[in-house]
Order: sequence, then C-alpha cells, then structure tokens
Amino acid sequence: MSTRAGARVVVVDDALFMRRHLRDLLEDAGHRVVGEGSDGDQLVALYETHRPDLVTLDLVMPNVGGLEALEALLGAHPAATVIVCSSVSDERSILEAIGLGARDYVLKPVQPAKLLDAVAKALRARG
Amino acid sequence: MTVVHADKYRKLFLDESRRHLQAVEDRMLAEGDLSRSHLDEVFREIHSLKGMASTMGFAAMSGLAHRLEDVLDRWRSAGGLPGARARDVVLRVCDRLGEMRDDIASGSSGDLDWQDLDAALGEASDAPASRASLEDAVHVRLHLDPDCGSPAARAYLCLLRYRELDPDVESDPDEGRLLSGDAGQTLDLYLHGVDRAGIEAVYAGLTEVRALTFPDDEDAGGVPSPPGPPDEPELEPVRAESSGAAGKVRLPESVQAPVGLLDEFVDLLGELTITRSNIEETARVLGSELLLDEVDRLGKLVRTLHERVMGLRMLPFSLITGGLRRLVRDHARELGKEVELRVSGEEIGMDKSILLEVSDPLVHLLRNALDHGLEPPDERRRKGKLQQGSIELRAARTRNRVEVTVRDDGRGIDAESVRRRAVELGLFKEDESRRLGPSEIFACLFRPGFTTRTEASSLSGRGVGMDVVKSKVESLGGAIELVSAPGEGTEVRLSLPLSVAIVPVLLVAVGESVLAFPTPAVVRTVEAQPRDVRKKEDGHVLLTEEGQVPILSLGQVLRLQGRRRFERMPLVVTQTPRGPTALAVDAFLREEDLFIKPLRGPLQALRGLSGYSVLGDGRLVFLLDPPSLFGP
Repeated sequence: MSTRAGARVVVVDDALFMRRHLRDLLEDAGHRVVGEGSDGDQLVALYETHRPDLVTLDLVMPNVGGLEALEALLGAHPAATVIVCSSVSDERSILEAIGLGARDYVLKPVQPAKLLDAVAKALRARG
Repeated sequence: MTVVHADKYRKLFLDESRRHLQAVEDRMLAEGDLSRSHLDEVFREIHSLKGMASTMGFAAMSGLAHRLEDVLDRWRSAGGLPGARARDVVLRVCDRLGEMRDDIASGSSGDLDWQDLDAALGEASDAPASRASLEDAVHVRLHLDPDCGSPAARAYLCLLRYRELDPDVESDPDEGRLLSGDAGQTLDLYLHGVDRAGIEAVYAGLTEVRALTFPDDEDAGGVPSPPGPPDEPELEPVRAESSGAAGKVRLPESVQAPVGLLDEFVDLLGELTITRSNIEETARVLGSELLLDEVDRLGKLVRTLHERVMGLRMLPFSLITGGLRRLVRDHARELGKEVELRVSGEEIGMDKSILLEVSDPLVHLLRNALDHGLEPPDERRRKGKLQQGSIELRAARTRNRVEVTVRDDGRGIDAESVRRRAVELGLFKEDESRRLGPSEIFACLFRPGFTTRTEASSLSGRGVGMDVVKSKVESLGGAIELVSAPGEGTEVRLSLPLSVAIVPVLLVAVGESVLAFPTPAVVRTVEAQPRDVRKKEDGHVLLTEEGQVPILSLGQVLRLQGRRRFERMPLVVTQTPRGPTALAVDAFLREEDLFIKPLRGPLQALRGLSGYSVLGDGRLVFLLDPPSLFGP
C-alpha cells in the first residue's frame, strides 16, 4: 500500500554532466540526492555530513580516485552502501571495488532501470 | 508405449547419439578433476541419450543408459565426484553404448548384452564421495542478464553475496578465474548447509541476473527428451513465495483497527523517533561508530514503521468528494447558476487527519468559486462563454506532497485592482508594488481583512475568509497559491504534505541556535567558495548552473545572532515566493527525522517557523517554513 520512501543519496563523480544525470534519474524515482562531490577526497566528509543511505561512486577521478575513496570510506564506515558507477573498460577496477566491498556496480552509460534496480536492492539489503 | 520407427528419425538419432557419447567421453578423458558442473553435464548427455533410445524402441541401449544415469545421479546426490576408477567404468559403458549405436546403424536393433557391466556400475556407484564437503551442497546456477556488461564482475559480485550466506561456497568458474575476467553467462555455485529459501532470498537481492535454477531438479523428472540437442531448460525467475503447505486455518486478509489506535501509533512513533535521537546523541558523545551504525539501522526501522503506519492512515480523496459534489450542486441551484463539477484524482491517498482538515478549506474555496467566480448564465452568454460554468477539483500526487486544485472558468480577478488595494492599505509603496509579480500580488488576497464587503464588485467577497483558508492549510504543513486572469477564471492550489508529524530535516547552526529545514524544502546545500559568489549593488549572489541566486543571511532574516562575514559559506538553497534563495548559515549539522509539534498560541504568529521539536540533547529546535520566511 505505501511505497517505500526514497533513499538519501550522495553522488560522487567528477563529471558535472554525470552528476546531473544521476541526480535527475534518482530524483525522478523519488530518491533524494543530498550531497554531490566531484572528487574522491570529498567522499568521507560528504558521508559524515549527510549519513546517506547510499553512495554512487565514479572510479576514475582526477585527484583521489574511486577505489582509494571507497577504501577510506569503508574503513571508517563499514556499513556504508556504495554503488560503483563506472565504464566497462574499468573491469579490473570494478572487480577491485567489489572486492573492497562495493555493494553493486552500474555500467556507464547508465541504464535507468538498472540503476534503480541496483538502488532498490541495495536499500532492501540495508533493511 | 508408442514406439517411433519412422526412418526419418533414424539418421537424426544416430548423429545425435554419437554426439552425446562423444561429449561424455571427452569430459571423462579431460585433464584435471571433474567438477560438479561437469558431472551435471555428463548426466544430461546420458539422460538425453536414454530418452532418444527409449523413444526409438532400442531397449538394450535405453536400459544401459538408464543404469548409468542412476549411477551418475547417485554420485550427484551424494555430492561425490567420480575418481579414476569410476571414470573408467563410465568410459566402458560409453564404449558399449557406442557398439549398440553402430549395431543400430547397420540395420539391427542394438540388442547387445551389458550384464557384465552391471556389477562394475554397482561397485562404482557405492564409491565414497571424493569430496566430503560437497555432501550437503546445493547446486545453484545463476543465469546472468544477456546484456550484462561485465559478466566477470557480475559473477564475482554474486559469489560474494552467496559467500555471506555460506563462507565455504564453491563456484564454477572459481574466484581466481572470475578475478581474471574469465566468466560466461552462467555461474554455478555449490552451497553448504543452506536452504532454498535462503538461496532465493539472496537471489532476490541480485541485479543483472536473469534467473536462478537448481540444475539438480531439472533432469530429475526422468521424462524422455525428444531427439535433438538437449535444450536449455525453460527459465523462469524463481519466486520466493514457494513456501511449504499452508496451515488449514484461513485468516482474514485484513483486520479492522479503530482510527484512534492509528493516532496513538503516530504518537508512539514520535516518542520512538525522539528516543532514537537521544541514543544517537549519546553515541556521538561516546564517539562510538559501532553504536552510531546501529542507531542508523534503528532509524531506518523507525522510518519504515512510520511509512507503514502512515500507509494505514491513508484514505482516498474520494471520501470527501461526495460531500463536495453535493455542496456544489445544491449551492449552484440556490444561486441559479449552472455548473459542471469535474473531479479527478479521487483515488489519491491522503493522511486521514489531513484529509479531514482540508475539507473545510475546500468547502470555502468551492463556495467562493460559485458565489464570486462563476457568472450567472446570461452574463456568461453575453461574454460568449458556455452557459454552463465549470469547476474543477483535482488531486494529484507529487513526490512527497498532494496537490489539490480548485479551478473555475469564471470572471477571474484583476491583478491590477488587487495591487491598488494593497497600496491603499499601505501593504506596499506604489513603486514597490509595481515590481511585484502576479503571485506576490495575489498573495495579498490571503491577508486578513484585505477585502471588505463595501468595496468594488470585482473584488467583492473573493478574499473573504481566504486568510482563514490559508492559516488552516498552513497548520497542516501545506502551502496555498492563487493564480487568476480576468475573464478566464481563478485557480487556487493547495500543496499538502503526505503525512503528518515526522518530518525529515536538515539541521543547521545559526549562532547559538539550531534550526531545521524540512528536507523537501531544500533544493540543495552548497559550501560556497569565494569564487562562487559575486557582489552586486543590492547584495551577494551565488553563481549556479541555473543562474544567479540571491544570498541572504538566515540569522539576519530571523534576527538571530549569526555570523555576517563569510569565507567558506554553507548555503541552503531553498524555494521561496521570490524564487530560489540561498540562505547562509553558520554550519550544516546533520540530517535527521524530527517529530514535529505544532506551534501554539502566540508562537503561531512567528514568521517563517512552522513547528518545533526537541533534539536528543534536550535543545529546542524550530522547524523553518522557507516559503513564509519572506511572506507579506
């Protein structure tokens, strides 16, 4: 009867375009993007400010990359839920991110249905 | 038993049976250990061969194949894998099956004796399982989405998910191969000591996986396959609801609950939310990450419970539209006006208290539309309008609000006369008033005492009671807006919260105070750098992708002590009647769910505030209502 309220999401991606795109996709589906970052070094601070339900994380970023950021985040907050959002050419990095504890990954170009499926299932897993 | 002797199948049978036997031999002769999936594959080949042979009526061949199938099946269910001797037996059986096939090819029926193999097969079938750990293993096959971009990564993720269920899960391809990017469209898993419900629950949480199958089930039916390659079994996503036999007692699917109980639930949820905040505060003081994570989870549970309870409280809009229809019909008759009332969105659910409270304002708005909006029939005719006026009552759901609109196609309101009246009443200076947009001008209609019975007919009555409507709507946490065009009609829009009481907020610090923005009102937060800000003659603006947004100090707006000079400036961008506005605060604190209590008595008059709550540390926090911060 009632639908599950949207998730509060932090989006980290160096491309403004991707951030906008992800924000639109997520917010159209009833989630809320509560924080955005353009580099991996912002991830932990963003997480601590907003305590989001979910983080979407690009892997290739100019200053601090996604893998390093992921490791730092999960080191400090093992319960954080991270969905990696990267391109297929990064398969090695994606495998590594999964090994580090990323909850799921979505390939770019992002297919909305897949993103939202991943988000919904990650949320359900958080309980 | 129907036996197919048709020659046209003969060649197909011969080709296919050779192919099946070849596949089994290849597998048995392959280097290295057999895996579970290899064993399954061999089983399928033999099973298909048996099916074809029996369909064709070749009794000896189907008998021997059946015997081998039994042995293979026993190995599979015991979780064992055939060692060298057992493999040797399988190869001998295959040789014999091959001889039978050749016999058939020469025109005979392949009726060769195989009793000599029976003892060897019996011995082999009792061979101890070579890997004890597989004894209770459940074989699971995951079928990845065909368009899954990176099968290795996807399969690896699946393996990790199942490892949470069984730390000793084995996979094919194994972890090493997956990590080197080697994966196909399926992943075979062997899980120990887990039940199917658990397996299916994990599956339900996977993404880019098309189906879950239990290969051990697929061939167990023993139905002969028609000649032809063993087709991939029809796949259907497995549903998790295949639980066992239900009890005999059937319970009703719904129970009635007294409405008062639902109110009590909301109060209890409020207490629960406050208690959660208290624990969180304590956890912060203790600096315990562990406890904070637990509190986080608790918060999620409370929020889910809140949603469920709020869901129970949802009633359809249709519950009040019946009465409103009657009201419009009866009142129109009294006035001698013709009207068609169109109602839409009757299925939209609203919290019961909001639904009941919004009924009065709607009655008022509909009466206004009938009394003052719609023209009498002859006047409408003169103006070239349809004789029958139209009123629309519409409810629509947006993300987290319900919008209720009352719209008429009557004479409308002239913004210019509203503006003049506002100047007359001293609400604005003449030049000031000329800079106002239509929505700001029409907002004057909601001011107490804006219209009186003595004034010109164009405004007569239109504003009467509108202040009451506005305050009612706002006490529900809603907002009201009026737009109108002379000659075309008037539209009043109510934007109402979906539910009551518990509001997600962003807490900010301003001086010594903590203030709460309802998160739906926050367009975004920005930690502005000097380069993001530009000084203009009438203040600072924030440069954004969408244009320049004026910056105001929240402290100054509320006349609180707060810093006035900013380097790195935390800004909350919010929507106000003036358009987007960036409100400077001293710091962002955190997001939280607050149980909001309404302001009572003189506090209700506080501009820009709509409620209060008590934080975990006992501090009082006011809930901001950004739209009314700058209201008239």
